[in-house]
Amino acid sequence: MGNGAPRMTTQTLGILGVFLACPSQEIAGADIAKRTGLKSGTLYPALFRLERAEWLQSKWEEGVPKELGRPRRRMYILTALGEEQARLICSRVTEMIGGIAWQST
Amino acid sequence: MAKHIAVLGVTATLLVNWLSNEAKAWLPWCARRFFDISVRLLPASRRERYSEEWRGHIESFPGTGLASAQFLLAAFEIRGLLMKDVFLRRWIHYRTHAVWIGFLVYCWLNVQLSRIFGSQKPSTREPSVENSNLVIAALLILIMFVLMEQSSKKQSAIAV
Repeated sequence: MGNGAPRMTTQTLGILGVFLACPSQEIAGADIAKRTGLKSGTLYPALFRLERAEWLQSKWEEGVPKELGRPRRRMYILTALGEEQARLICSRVTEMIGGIAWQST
Repeated sequence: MAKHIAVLGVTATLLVNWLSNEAKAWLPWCARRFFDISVRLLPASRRERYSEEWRGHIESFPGTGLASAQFLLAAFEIRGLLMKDVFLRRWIHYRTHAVWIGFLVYCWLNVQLSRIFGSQKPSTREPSVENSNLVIAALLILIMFVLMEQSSKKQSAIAV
């Protein structure tokens, strides 16, 4: 593991949720912001933490900015470790919420 | 009285109008400044990457204006995380030194305290006292090696 498990906040869970919906897809930061509704001040540090923990990998999109007519996007993708850990967390969270829901009824 | 209120109202309207126009004119400049400051807050090795990435982000959300102030928060946090890594690396490095120094201080104190408080010379002390000192010294050496081992593992784990 890279630099330990990242801090698990609702924002981080939201980001992982976006990646788990399409694990093999490369997603840009702006698209994650659109899907999660997170502001850039929260999104990029969370992405940085996930990348540092090697749960995410990032690379520049193909193409030259001049040809694209806009700045290149940094594309994020879930690593095998990230997918495994994210699924584990999701199952734990589901278990916990399920337990709470069961107790409350 | 009514005349004064009317004059005041017109003046206030003009003033608010002028101020809003000024603010609108200054907004792109402020956004640019916020963006530049955010990028400059980052360590030099990360500036190019985040500058391009965040410019792409702004392009995806047109008309956000002062929303670029959000990048200040992001830059502060990323900078903080990177500095924490550096601090941790330094702490791990100096922790090993601290144990070495602690061990030497212990040896020195052992000699000095026995000179000050002990009625017996170190060579004539009880064998049990000598043995306990040896055990403490051995434990300190063991702790030192464990810490050194841990620090070397952590140092390799921390991404530069």
